[in-house]
Amino acid sequence: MRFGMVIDLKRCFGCRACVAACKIENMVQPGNFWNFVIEYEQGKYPNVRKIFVPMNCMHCENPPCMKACPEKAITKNEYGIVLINYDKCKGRKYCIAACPYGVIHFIDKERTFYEGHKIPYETLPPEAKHPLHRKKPCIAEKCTLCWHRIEKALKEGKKPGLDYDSSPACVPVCPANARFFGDLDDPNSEVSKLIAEKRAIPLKREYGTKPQVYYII
Amino acid sequence: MKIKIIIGFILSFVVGFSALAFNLPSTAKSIKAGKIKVGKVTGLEPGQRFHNIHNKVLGLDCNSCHISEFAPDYLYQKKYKDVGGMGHVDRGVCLGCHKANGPAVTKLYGVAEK
Repeated sequence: MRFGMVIDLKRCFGCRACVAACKIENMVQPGNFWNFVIEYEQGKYPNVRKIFVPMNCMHCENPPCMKACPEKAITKNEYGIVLINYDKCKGRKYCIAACPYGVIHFIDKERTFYEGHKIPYETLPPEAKHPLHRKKPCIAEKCTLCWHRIEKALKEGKKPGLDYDSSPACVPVCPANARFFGDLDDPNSEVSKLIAEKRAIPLKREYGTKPQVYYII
Repeated sequence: MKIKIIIGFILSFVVGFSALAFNLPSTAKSIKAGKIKVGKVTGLEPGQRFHNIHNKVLGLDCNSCHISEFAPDYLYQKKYKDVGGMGHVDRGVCLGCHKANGPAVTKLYGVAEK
């Protein structure tokens, strides 16, 4: 089983619901993003259109961040998800330098959502949080493909991606149904079918990173 | 735009070629064995290992990597104009040496699919 995502750029209209859902689900502090949308214009007036490209960690099969990390803090689990171990990370930023997608962020200092006071979640001790949410200053952070949700679904014997709770937070919130999540190794999964039928492609193939996030362009 | 891409290509070729002039595997071995001093602080800042290896040991000039006139990379979140200091480094420069069949010892990237 190897989890991946397909994002349909023809459907995405840049509402950033995925960005907001990710922020809330993973409590990503202000200034950093595990999920963001890049927009640019294509064509010349009057034939102009705007392109929105939602970006998150590509969970590469051949992750350069993992190879670059001098602390061996980045690993790829048996489901193909690339994760950072915050206890091992020393904030060297080599992963940020190696990633061609610019999706890894650095926590320089702790920032609360509201200036001057903490929301109840921010007052919780680290032990009360999932290991992937025990973030601290001077470490790198990035999208985990909501591994805490997938892990829970797998423990409960559910098939990840089938319902709201077992999918990455960005997927079910998309009002345009532009995001799809599933098992890339299963030829009958929605993601595999989309990749085959709509010829979805990964970004920046010249780097040979073999991303597990595909785009329908 | 095309000229900028060509300049980028030429510079990454020059970077790759200058790296080839070294015997990179033995240089890497000497660094790991501590025969070549590159500092003890592992980090990206000037004066730390990353810059010491690329700049002082391999002799790459600042402008080899910090090229101000890259073709705009829309898929990279940071815009060059917003970055202070020497400026953003296009990962294409790293790719020249650090690809699977490149001269660098650390093979960060793979081989482009056809």
